[in-house]
Amino acid sequence: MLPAEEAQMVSEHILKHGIDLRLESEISEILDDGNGSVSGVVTKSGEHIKCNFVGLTVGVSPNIQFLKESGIEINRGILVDEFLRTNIPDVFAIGDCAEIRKPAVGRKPIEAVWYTGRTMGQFVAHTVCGKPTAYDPGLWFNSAKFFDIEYQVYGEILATRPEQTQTFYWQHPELEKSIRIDFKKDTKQVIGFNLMGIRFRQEVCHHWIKNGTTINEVMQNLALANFDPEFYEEYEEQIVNTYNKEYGEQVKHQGKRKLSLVNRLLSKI
Amino acid sequence: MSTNYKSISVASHHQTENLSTVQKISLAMLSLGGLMQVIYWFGGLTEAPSLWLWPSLLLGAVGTAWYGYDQYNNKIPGVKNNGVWFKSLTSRGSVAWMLGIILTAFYIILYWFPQYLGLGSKETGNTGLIRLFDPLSQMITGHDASQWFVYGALYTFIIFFLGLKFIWKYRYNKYQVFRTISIMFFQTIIAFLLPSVLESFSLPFNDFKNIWPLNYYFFFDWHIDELLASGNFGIFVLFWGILSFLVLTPILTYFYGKRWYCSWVCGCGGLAETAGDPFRQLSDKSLKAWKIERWMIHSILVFVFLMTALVLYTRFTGQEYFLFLNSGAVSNLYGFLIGSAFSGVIGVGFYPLMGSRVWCRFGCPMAAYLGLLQKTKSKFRITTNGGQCISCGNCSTYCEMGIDVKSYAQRGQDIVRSSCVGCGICSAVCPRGVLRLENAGNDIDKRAKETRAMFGDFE
Ligand SMILES: Cc1cc2nc3c(=O)[nH]c(=O)nc-3n(C[C@H](O)[C@H](O)[C@H](O)COP(=O)(O)OP(=O)(O)OC[C@H]3O[C@@H](n4cnc5c(N)ncnc54)[C@H](O)[C@@H]3O)c2cc1C
Ligand code: SF4
Repeated sequence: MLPAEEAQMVSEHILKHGIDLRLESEISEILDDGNGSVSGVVTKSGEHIKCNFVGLTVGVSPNIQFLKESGIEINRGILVDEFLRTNIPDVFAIGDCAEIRKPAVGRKPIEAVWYTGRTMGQFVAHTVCGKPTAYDPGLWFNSAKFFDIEYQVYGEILATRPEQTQTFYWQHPELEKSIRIDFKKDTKQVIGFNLMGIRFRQEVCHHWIKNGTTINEVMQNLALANFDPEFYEEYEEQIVNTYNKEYGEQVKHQGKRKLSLVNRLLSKI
Repeated sequence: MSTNYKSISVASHHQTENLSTVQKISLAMLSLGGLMQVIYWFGGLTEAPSLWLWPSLLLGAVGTAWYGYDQYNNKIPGVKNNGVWFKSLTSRGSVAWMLGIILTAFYIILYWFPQYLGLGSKETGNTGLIRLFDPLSQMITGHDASQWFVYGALYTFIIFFLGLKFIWKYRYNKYQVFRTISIMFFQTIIAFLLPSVLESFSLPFNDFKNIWPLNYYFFFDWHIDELLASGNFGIFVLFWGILSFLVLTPILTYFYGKRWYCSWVCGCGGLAETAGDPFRQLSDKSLKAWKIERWMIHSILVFVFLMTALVLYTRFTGQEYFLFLNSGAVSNLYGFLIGSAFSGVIGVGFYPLMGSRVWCRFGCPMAAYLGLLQKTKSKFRITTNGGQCISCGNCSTYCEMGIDVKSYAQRGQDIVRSSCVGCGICSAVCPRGVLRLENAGNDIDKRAKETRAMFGDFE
């Protein structure tokens, strides 16, 4: 899911929190303690690990078998049209269980994430309140928190990068902070932002991606996107210098972490 | 290994209060220091006070600082509020009730029965707790301690050392660090040392940051007389007092919001932010509480204006009565009800039960004034980050002013609330980077008008 560098950072962080992470192991057996409770697990390599609780987290799948006989059309999820309607009048489905018949370009029919569920809720609320509004997922974004590392993503960041995408990655020399900006090789237009331990403004990233802003221009104004609390370390200069070095560019950073400038960029005044 | 856990929650209360060795030792030091003061208070120790004052203060200081250091030391960067709902002290348990009662009783004694603290007359001298503080008072003011000196000293001590603990807890958040240093500075230097030094020069006691109407007696007869009797200095204080209310406050609030005062300067806020930090989650977030808050705080603002107008009326006309209102009686009533009972007894005594900002939220007329300015004409707001809120409610939980931050954040609405003191904790605890305290002038009239989280595509 995450690109290699970020995944590495998260793995190290999880280890720091005292969790014995075994990325290469697989469970082959769960052992019974004789009283119907678990006593341990055995891995494929034959190792025996004692425990009294097992959690299995292998992806999410809609639990909709109870709808089989209901007449509502289902596939992997509950099938809905662009108004989030099922085949039965006045029955809607949203969130993890909904499967969109014709998803938007680049989006999956089932998106088991919080923001998709909430956005769908906003649309369906309009529709059921008498203002039918077709679901538009908008630009992809997400966030999470891995113990103490905050993670935000805006736009398209793929773990395995396609041929026509270039990436710029900067990581703080000591702290668990990084930013990644993906952009198109030919036009240099930015397509995605990936942030670890640094907060970025959704609206600014969104604006840049929507308007096909080039990476150089983004670099020039990078501070406008920053959403860290006041007085936090400002590393924009450092990031832009790294970028200049790696890409042989001469960008000069001019941005400031100031809401009034952001308002101007988004022409909200 | 065949324990069957009923709860599999990672927040389960199976083991939340494991004290480290250092914490045990530091708590012992702190208790010992406190005990010395209590025993001295009740006459169990009769030696010269300096023999017990300095060791008790030292034990208290080292104990508090060391405890706080150890509690957050060796922790991975991040906000640590683990287990607050499982600890008796921070979840209105028995320890909280006991502490609340002790604090309340202490305030009652302080305000109305200072003789029980050992306050004596000039001839007899002090006894008990107040005598214990005579050496410190002698050192700073040149005369024996009063109950107010003891209170000020303890107050400053607590803000300073629990401030260190707070800084250590939030050390990865520079906003928290800077504003706590500011609070510690204003309390130690401006509120405690400077006024005491002024006294030692026979000038009137004056805390320059205690602005009317928080400093409700500023326009009282005796106070104005005292100022007028002390020459240029008195005139300066009078001038500064009026200027800080009329000019400084509106200007600073325009640029930075109410926070410049409430969470950077004020002593009441200072105690709430440092000693009160473990209790911030106890504030009532209900709509009903908000309603009560607005009625109460604005009534008190009206009360202080009326009371001050009456007092000045009497001063300039010599008339004690305006209609049926007796200015002396009204100002006494204000002093008793608001100045003492509310701000002290309830304001601090109830920390462990109602959260740390009861006074600031429901009672303080200065907060009401700042709030009106913040709401109508200020660059300040808490910006929400597009549609990133996950409605987890951390921000609302830790809002000491009882603002339901989440209800704004989840619809992407900026937060402009007169009660917001700008402590920045909501922004610190938010797991998704949704909240930022900021100032901007170019959209000042549009603050909080739009909701950004509507629809995936919110442009
Ligand atoms: C461990 C984990 C971490 C996650 N982290 C993230 C993240 O970082 N970012 C992100 O964007 N998303 C994340 N997600 C995904 C996100 O939590 C879900 O997409 C979101 O909660 C889905 O909301 P929902 O309302 O569609 O479904 P749910 O929240 O699953 O709600 C479905 C409800 O229906 C009830 N129900 C089920 N069957 C029946 C029945 N027969 N009758 C009545 N009620 C029934 C269930 O009890 C449940 O309350 C995570 C999910 C998991 C499991
Ligand atoms: S803490 Fe952040 S994510 Fe949680 S409700 Fe508040 S704003 Fe939303």
